[in-house]
Amino acid sequence: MLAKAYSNAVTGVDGYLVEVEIDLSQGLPSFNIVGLPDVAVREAKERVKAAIKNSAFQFPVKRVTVNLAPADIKKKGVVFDLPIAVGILAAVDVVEENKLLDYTLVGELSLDGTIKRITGALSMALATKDEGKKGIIVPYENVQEASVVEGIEVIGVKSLEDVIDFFNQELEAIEPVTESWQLNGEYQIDYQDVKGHEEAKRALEVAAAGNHNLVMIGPPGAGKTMLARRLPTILPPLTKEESIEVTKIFSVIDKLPSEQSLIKTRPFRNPHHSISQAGLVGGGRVPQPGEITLAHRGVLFLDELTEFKRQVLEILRQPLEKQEITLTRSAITLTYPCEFLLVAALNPCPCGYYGTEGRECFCTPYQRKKYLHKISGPILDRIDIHLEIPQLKAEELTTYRQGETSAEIKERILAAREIQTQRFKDTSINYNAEMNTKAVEKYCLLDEKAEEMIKEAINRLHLSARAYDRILKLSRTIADLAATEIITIEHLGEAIQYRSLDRR
Amino acid sequence: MENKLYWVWLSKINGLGSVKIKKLLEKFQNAQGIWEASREELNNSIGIGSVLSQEIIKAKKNFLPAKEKEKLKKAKVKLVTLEDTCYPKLLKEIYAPPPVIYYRGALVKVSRPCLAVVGTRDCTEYGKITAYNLAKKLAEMGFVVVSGLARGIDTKAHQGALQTGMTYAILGSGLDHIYPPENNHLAEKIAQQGAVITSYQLQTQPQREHFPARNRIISGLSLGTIVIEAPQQSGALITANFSLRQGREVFAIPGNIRKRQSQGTNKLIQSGAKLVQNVDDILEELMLENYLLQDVNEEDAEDEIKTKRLNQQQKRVYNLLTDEVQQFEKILSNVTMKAKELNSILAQLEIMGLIKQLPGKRICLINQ
Repeated sequence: MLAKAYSNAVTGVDGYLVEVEIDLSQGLPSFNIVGLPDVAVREAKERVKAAIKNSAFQFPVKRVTVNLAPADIKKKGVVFDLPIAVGILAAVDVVEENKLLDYTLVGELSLDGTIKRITGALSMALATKDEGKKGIIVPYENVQEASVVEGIEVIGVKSLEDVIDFFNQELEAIEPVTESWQLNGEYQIDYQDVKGHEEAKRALEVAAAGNHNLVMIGPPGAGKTMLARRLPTILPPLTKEESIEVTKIFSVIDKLPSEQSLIKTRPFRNPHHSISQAGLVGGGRVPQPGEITLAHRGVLFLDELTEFKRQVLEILRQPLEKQEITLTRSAITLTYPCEFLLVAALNPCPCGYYGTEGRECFCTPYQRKKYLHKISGPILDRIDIHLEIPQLKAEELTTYRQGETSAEIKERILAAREIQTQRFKDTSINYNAEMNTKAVEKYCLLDEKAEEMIKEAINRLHLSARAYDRILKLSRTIADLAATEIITIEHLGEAIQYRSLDRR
Repeated sequence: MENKLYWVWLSKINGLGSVKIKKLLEKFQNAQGIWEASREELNNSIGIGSVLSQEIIKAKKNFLPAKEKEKLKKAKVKLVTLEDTCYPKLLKEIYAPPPVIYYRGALVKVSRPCLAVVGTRDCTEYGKITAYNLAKKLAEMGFVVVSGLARGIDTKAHQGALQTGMTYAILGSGLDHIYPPENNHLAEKIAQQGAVITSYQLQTQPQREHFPARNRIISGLSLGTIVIEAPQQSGALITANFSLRQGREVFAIPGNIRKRQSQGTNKLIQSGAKLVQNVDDILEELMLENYLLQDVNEEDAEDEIKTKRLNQQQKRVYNLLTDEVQQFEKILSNVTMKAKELNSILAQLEIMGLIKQLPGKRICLINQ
């Protein structure tokens, strides 16, 4: 008596198909699971036995062997409870097998036969679709999340009995829940909440338009975090594909809000500076995604950048360049995506008040230099915009004019991104920030006056060759925001202002 | 070799002070002349013996102009020599002015009148408050407050002046050896809003005997010297003395007769220094009317030249800026431009060398 059912498992953030084979043979009653199961999978035996019994079915008094294929990949987690139970029932002909093979099943069983929520349902549903199956059976609590995948049936079930009824056609096919897809996620915050800081808002606009990483320098309480938090609100809305990518990641680590099927807003990750290497880029025996992956398609905000352990910051170099992180452990090698916009914040000096009006800074020049040198050149090299955030006086705040809303700013950014998409459509570049020296030469054309100005600027402000490239890239983005092809002194001048660390 | 470097060389020769240099200059016109002079010619000069002439010849061999220039550039030190037109006018008038002065920051080209505010390091609270307030007021009126960056009165005078205007700090050491060290930060601020000045070359340690010479420059730069507090034996009294000898005014703040710190100042008053109770007491003595008027005219003329090459928008921003540092957001609230436009124009003005941007996005005019 042989039966088969399909299930899914997840490595990294991607799902794959698992065949669950069940063989019943004569002999002393026993129950074995093979196919590199971990402890949680092996313990499925007890849950399956109890669940079948408590759902008023009979557990076969036979020698039961379960194989999870492909047999050479380690299986972990509890999602195989359901396919094993259903497979056993198919082997004893309680379930009709032909329909069973069109679906994949995932779910954790409790002893009374109810089915509990699992992690990674979205990735599994996607794998189901890729494998050409007709549908997926998921725990009822996961149905919202899985039903994002179009083109397959997503059946949410509450108990083992539901599943059996479904396959024996006693249960009316459950209407797949399809949430109407809205492009715009709603944010609770807006740039209009921030008074003053017009320069900073503009710089963030440039950062968002060209995907330029950014560092903010300012005294404590100046509003750095407030400004950074609002950055996702002006980034272009997630496309459906992007949204699925993000949701997959959060689904795998079980951080998906239960009432939400898809994450529609760009993530904003704000790890504390005590974070470890593994916490930041991901790690573990079977590596789990770290903060940079959770910030995928969103913003990674590193507050108090100088307080982060140096080694922790150094490992950011490669991910920043490649936009993915490959973690190799003895058991497994996984690649997680991490395409994020880096926003860092730091104080101008150890006491925090250098350059602040009305506050004396007691740091010596040497201390200040040492403080800023905590950030290594290679990291700083990947940050295009340096922005000074001054502390605004409370009594002056009321006099500032009303700022723009995030929506207004976003409109300009969308236009600028469109220009970039057109410009780079035949290249591997996506945004201005990704241009290499050659591309800078090709795409950043200056008019005569601007040409003169940059030469003068290099002399007078002692800019390095590195700064030169960055300034041109930024001017490109600024010109894109103004929808002009040739860079003029207006654009160039503004770009030069965003390189304040080059002048210290 | 660049003309300035001859002067640097001259100021580096051992045993050759301002007075002897003055004598040599009378004979050989300028530093280059001295460089080109033969040993014999030097030997025959007044006040130069064979030992010194040998010293001068030796110094020629040891002087590496390129290295010297690099060193100055690296330390961001600028210099003016007696030959330069921007050498402070008043200082040039004294007997044997220092041939070279090194400085960080900016010397006011169109000379604003300088006033020295000096006093003891070991001062009372009364002295501190007086120095601070007086310097603040003087700076606000357009005077450059000159002092010696020492602890006590000097520090307060600089701090007061920084609040409203410009100040010069005169050192008794090289510009890379700020003394006392806790005034490092103050010196930096002064360099942004005035100048830190010395007649000593880089790497000179502060030494006892340097300070009287420094005091000579403090008084020499100034129309008058105001002594805030000084005990009987005080460097401030030396400054006052120089001031008298250079034909400048001496002012003193009266103090408590039972305090040690007032004995020197009270004595000054006794022997004829002007007693100062408020700023008017000082102005009365200086007869500044002509001086200030002329100054304004010159400044206007300069301004016009500067702003000629500016376009409309640049001019609008330029006119909003002053010598005083202003925060970006504050400037922005005074114009109808957007942040991006203002930012761009500021960069343009900075590249033209008209303005300076300080940490914390604060902006002021460069006054030179």
